[in-house]
Amino acid sequence: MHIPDGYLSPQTYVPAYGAMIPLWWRASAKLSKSLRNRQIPILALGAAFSFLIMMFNVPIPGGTTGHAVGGVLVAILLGPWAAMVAVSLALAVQALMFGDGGVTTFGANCLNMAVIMPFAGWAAYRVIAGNAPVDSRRQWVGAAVGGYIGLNAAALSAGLMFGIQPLIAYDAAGRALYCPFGLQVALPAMCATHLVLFGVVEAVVTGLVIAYLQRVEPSLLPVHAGGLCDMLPRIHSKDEGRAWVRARRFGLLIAALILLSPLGLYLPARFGAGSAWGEWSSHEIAQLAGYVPSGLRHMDSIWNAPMPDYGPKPIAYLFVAVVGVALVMLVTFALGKLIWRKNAEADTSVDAPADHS
Amino acid sequence: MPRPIPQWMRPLTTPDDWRASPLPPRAVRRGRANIARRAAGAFAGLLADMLSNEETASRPGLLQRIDARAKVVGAFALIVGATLLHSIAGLAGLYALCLVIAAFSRVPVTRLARVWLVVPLFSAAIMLPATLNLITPGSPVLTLHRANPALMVTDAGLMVAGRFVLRTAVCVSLVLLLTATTRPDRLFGGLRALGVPKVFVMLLSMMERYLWVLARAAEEIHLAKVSRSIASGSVREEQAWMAAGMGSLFRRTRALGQEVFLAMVSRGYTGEVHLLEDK
Repeated sequence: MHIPDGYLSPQTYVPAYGAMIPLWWRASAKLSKSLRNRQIPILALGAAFSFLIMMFNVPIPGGTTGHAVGGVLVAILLGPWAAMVAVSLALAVQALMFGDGGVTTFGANCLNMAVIMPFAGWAAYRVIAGNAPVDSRRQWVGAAVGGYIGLNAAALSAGLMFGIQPLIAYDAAGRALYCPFGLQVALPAMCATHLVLFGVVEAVVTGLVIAYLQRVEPSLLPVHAGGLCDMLPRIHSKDEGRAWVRARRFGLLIAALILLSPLGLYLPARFGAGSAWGEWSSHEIAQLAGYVPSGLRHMDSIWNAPMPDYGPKPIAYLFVAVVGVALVMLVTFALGKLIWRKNAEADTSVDAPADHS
Repeated sequence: MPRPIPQWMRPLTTPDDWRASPLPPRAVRRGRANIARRAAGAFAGLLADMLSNEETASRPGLLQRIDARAKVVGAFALIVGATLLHSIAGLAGLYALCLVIAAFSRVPVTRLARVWLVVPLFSAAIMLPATLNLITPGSPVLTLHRANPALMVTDAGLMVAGRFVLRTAVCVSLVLLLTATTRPDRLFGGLRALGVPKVFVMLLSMMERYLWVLARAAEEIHLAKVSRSIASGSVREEQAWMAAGMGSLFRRTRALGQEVFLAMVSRGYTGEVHLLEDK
């Protein structure tokens, strides 16, 4: 998985660096915001940890051993943004001090193993583990599935990087300058080995480590993965402040989307596109297709919108957006109340204080 | 008669000690029985490499005299140059230059040979299919299989593979020369010349320092198992043990991180990043 120098063309490794720089910048902005706490040392040690878990020998049936990358494991333990930084640092030390993985391909390696792998795996873990309690089976199952998905996503990306080399970099005689294997060779080679073997190793490692920590020191498992770069493990902290910050961010996003809604008027008019695709009224369909399907004509009379075609233009659009969002929120809120009341009775989760040393 | 202290219990001060420590010569057999032993050997090898880098970096030599920032920028420029260079003669020239510089910088051949041989050999193995007409069409040099489908080594294939292996060899050599002649703190400090932010330089230096501690811990985790087991368990048990090893390494990481933080705070750490920008 560590791509050495010389395998990728400048047309590939320069864009990979280009993709990584804003991500590193974002991560370091997240870090410097909380520089006054203990994150720096834990991050440095987390990087050393990510380095070392790549060296553990994992037994495989048949008497041989393999190695895990551990990107998803670090993401679950430290959070995905911290994992991005920690794995990047581990890859940097491997490239600079041990010649493992290239210097020019460092950006590409980070993209695969420090971004795609932790984020894909962490997302899968979150989907499966959800808000399950610390001792739930969903925790380690989610971790295992996350490890499998994360590693295979990274392998797919690496296979794509290899496979496009002969397409984009060749000399005057058409001979490949870098990795000479095309997509039809590189993709199956990378994906098959990772789907069948290395992905399973990664899943076993990730799942078993989480299961071990569940049993031995559950306080290290961030059940409530709140902050993106939250290094401090916490158990089920129902942090009101944090919830409020999130709600406010969400509100701002919705407000921005509402403000943008008249774009739906402007853009089609600007490009002469007529109505949005698939949202034709029956007489527009008659114009486009030459006839109106009888079923559609029949259905046309079933529902008359209270504000047909949203009335007078941009301001009406905004108004409709606000009303629509409010309606959706109201319905969701009501449904949530109903469901939550059921859950609240079954919820036996314990709130432990967050670590404040 | 008192028996001598086993090799692996002695204090370890030189790279050779580390290489020798957990691996009594007869014990290095392939197979499941030695997984923990081999892993312990890998961690010891890591520590040995780090030690021998420090040692060659403090020898008097050509590259050791040059400022780390200049070396970092120079090495990176040469590596990028090597990836842009397409003539085999040019790449071979760069490779020869690396050898000359290594000789003048007193980098031991044995230290270089491992990486210098392993990476190009690995690349060469990967490149073998690329010399065939299936991947790289061209005029045949050596016909392996005449009938349908014809299988032959092509001149274009040899050219592609040769250029590829030579290029990876040049790049690895350049990185290795940089590593072997620069102490890690200077090396990471030198990255500032490439515009790497201070925070990352500090993180890298801290990581390198505690890599020692944690690699030692990882080695001990494996040695503890080696010295307590008479036979290996099933794959399942071994996997569970390995996961427990990783888990306990993480617990140590976490505890050490908190202690380091407290030590930093008690020495006046306020969140500001300062580097020792000497030389």
